[in-house]
Amino acid sequence: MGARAQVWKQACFCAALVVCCLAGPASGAISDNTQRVSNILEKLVIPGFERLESSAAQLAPAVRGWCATHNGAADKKKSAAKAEKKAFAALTAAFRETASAWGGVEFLRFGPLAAKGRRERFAFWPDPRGVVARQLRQILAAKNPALLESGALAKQSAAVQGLPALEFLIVPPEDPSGKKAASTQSREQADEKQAAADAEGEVYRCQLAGAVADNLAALAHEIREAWTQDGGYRQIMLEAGPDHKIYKSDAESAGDLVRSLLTGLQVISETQVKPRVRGAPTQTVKSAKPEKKPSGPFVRIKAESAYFVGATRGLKALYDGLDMEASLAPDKQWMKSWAAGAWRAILWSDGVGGAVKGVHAGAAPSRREVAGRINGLRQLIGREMANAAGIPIGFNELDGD
Amino acid sequence: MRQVFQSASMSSMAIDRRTVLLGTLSAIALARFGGPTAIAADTLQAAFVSAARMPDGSYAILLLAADGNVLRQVPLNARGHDIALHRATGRAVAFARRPGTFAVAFDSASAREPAVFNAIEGRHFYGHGAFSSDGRLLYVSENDIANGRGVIGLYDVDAGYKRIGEHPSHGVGPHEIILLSDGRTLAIANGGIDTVPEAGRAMLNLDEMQPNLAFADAESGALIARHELSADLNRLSIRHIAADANGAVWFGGQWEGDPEATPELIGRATRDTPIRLIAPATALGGDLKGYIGSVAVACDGGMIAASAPKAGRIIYVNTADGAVVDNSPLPDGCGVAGEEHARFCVTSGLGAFRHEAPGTRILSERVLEGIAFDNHLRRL
Repeated sequence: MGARAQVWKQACFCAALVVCCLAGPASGAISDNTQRVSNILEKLVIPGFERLESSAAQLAPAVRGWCATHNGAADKKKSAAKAEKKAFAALTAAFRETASAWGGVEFLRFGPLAAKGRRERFAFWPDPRGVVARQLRQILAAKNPALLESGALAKQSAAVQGLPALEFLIVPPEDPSGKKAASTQSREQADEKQAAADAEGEVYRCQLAGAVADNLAALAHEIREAWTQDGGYRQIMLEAGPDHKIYKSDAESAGDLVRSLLTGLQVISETQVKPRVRGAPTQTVKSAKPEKKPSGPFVRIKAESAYFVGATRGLKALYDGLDMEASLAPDKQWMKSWAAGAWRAILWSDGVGGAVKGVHAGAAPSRREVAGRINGLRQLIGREMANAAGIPIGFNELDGD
Repeated sequence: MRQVFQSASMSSMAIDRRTVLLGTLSAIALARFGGPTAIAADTLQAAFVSAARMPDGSYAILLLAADGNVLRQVPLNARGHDIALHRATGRAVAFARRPGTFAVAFDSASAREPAVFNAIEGRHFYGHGAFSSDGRLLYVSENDIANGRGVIGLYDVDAGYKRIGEHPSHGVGPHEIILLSDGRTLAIANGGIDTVPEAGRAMLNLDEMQPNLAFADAESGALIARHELSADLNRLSIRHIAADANGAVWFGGQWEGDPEATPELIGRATRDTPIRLIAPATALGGDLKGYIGSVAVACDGGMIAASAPKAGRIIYVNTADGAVVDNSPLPDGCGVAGEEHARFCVTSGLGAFRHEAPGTRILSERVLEGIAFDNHLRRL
């Protein structure tokens, strides 16, 4: 054991020396990982979860406002229809804002989001097997009033608790038989009894949507509190040390942030960008029904772009906060301009094939380019920049199996 | 043409502009093969084999001498995972990692041209496989994608790895499978995790995970025994396994639940006895960051090694009583392979290649600069 301890000591010393040599010559670099983590917590993480909390709190009033106008009457007067349209626009705007806020923090998959299944409960996605739809159809058919009680949904499957469930209830997809789950068109042709049943179903659907929105608000509040309360995860990340239960050094707490950046980039590339690159090799689920085919998140409610842009902006803010470029050695300075170009392409994309607002449509990068830029960026960050900044991330620890 | 990598002559791992550009251009086209070729043969005896990322960012299977010299490489178009071996014939098959669809068959004793075969439509690989005792069949852990059902694909080796059927894995997300010493029983680590290629590596069913360790008849596929975890442990994905001298199957798990509730990650079961987790005096699961990457048994079957790359540790457990006898630091260490005299060879994602004896000393260590050894190391 003595020889091993000696070798380990020497290895640690050499690693520290390498890190010092790499980081030493650069000017303006953040030398203290605790400061680096603190900056990111205060400028990105905490504000991000506060934004999620405030945006999620707007969902329930918006749902109930829409439900009040959405009474299912086929002979709706013009003024009522206009009111419903306005309420629906307000609801979808609230949804987009929450989806954007979620994109801005969803990649922080450690700490409070890793506990109690909160990430899956807030957004059960990707869902290529259509679990959300299947479980919600069962709930809508049963119309169990107990599920509408405060806190009841939090004890149910993650699939029926979050944003995808809310989307399903607001904008129902075609059901397997090809009919809308509950539509105005079908009601027009229904007899009186059927219309009454539909109306009852619509009421329950709206009530369930309200319960899901309440659950989202409670979850977002709980997550924010888990970060900011006394002894919360913000404090945990800042108290790294040899005797710490989670982080034995400040490089370990900073490491969670680098891993979040790398994983976040990978996730948007694998789930939103690459699958839609024309000609990209895919293996489709042959027997999958249309509703089970994978697609982007929040497509039906038209919030996919908001989510994507929220995510890419959040990831860029995390990249900036880590300030790894400042530690690059003189012969690696070219990485800064390469990374700037990569980020430009990523941030200009709206995630659905076009350009974000303010960028000329013709300048929109192709999905293939965005996927390629993300891949290159991950290589640079994982293999060069993080090492230079003294936050080495292992090949296997980052993404083993 | 001989290509032997040595640590002293390895190029730097530095990424240059060209590497990034190539990585960019090839990012989309990784899933299918352009036809790998073995680069050079060597008369030296290869002792170990592992998947790896090379200094230029490409992927390969490396055949290594006992001292860590790279004797031969089989290039891959995407990241590999484990290698199934049949020592008597030298047959070897490397698998794409979850949810990949390619496998590369090669000969560990010669530089014969490797052969590529792919998962059939509707199936993907989980990165592991095992040969039958006569080497004529290959068993591969696969996913029936449409139904989220684990299967063991059966491949006829002599027919060019033609898929001739499948057995149920008796669970979801089969990962490592091994043939036990009776030559008739497969032990299957059903990790419980559902994946589909369209969703990348996303784990789709964390809410409903039900991992198990199954024992099945290799010929008929019939279930012999299936051991599940208690409900409070259903997020412990049973992923990697090795059999000890007494026929007990040891596993290393990956905890997908609440980090604060991380249980012990290492356990064992036999066909007739249920799962028992190790019970060290001081809880270990949390310190290991909830993650075991690989498990191997020493040649005498009396000791197992379990790697914990997220914690940078290799854990050694005495198979007789389940006692943890050593906890050896190795940053990003993951590959473990048993050797004679209760020794192990271990590798890391930082290029370390080490021989060590648990509880005593590091016997030798070198770093292959720029090479990142992947999850699994196998002794040839």
